[in-house]
Amino acid sequence: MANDIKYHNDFVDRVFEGKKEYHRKAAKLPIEEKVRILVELQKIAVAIKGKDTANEKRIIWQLD
Amino acid sequence: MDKTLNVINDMLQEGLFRKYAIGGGIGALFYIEPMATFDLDIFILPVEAPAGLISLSSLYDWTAKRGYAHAQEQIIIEGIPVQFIPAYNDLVTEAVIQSMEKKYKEVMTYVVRPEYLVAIMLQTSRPKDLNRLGVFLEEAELSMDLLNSILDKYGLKNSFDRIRKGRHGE
Repeated sequence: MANDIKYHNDFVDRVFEGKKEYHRKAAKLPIEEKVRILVELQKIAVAIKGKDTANEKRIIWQLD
Repeated sequence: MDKTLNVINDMLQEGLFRKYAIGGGIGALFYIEPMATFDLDIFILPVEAPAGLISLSSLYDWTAKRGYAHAQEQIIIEGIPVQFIPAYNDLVTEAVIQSMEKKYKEVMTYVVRPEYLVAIMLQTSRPKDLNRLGVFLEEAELSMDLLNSILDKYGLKNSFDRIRKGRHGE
């Protein structure tokens, strides 16, 4: 069909491998940096979903 | 988090529990990319009362005396909600005993090994555990020998194989 876009398998493999590599690198960050990122994720989660759920009080961590 | 860990180390020094290890989402954070979580889960080996009963009241009293607020079962220690969870079965007890020393800034702490975190996630099997388990299998450096021995010991091998087959179509 005209709308079909045929990608070369190598290209798709490279895209997915690049994504995996990005996540693996993020996994190897120093824990202090991960905690800093975590607090940013907490802020985003609270902005989207609100502070509290039935099971959880969502308190954004206060770091130094 | 360093101030919070210092307080938890003080609690250990003062004998409020026999040993502790960071588990849950923050335990996982030591091995995988950051994912949103709000609690600092601390597995503890409690001090048993003479009658064999386990009580967390000494923890709550100790922290209350130091002005740390409580929110549901959490204790807010230096700005971080901490959930103390007594080791509730043999797997979690072993995970605490076998935990690793790690440093956060200059503070020494104890973290559940990744292979035990995988086993605990499998055993608990809530949707968020299974989601995190998938990330673990992609990103964490696991000793497959250790993981297999834990899975065999606690009867989790079939669950693990099912999930791995589901992910990779193996």
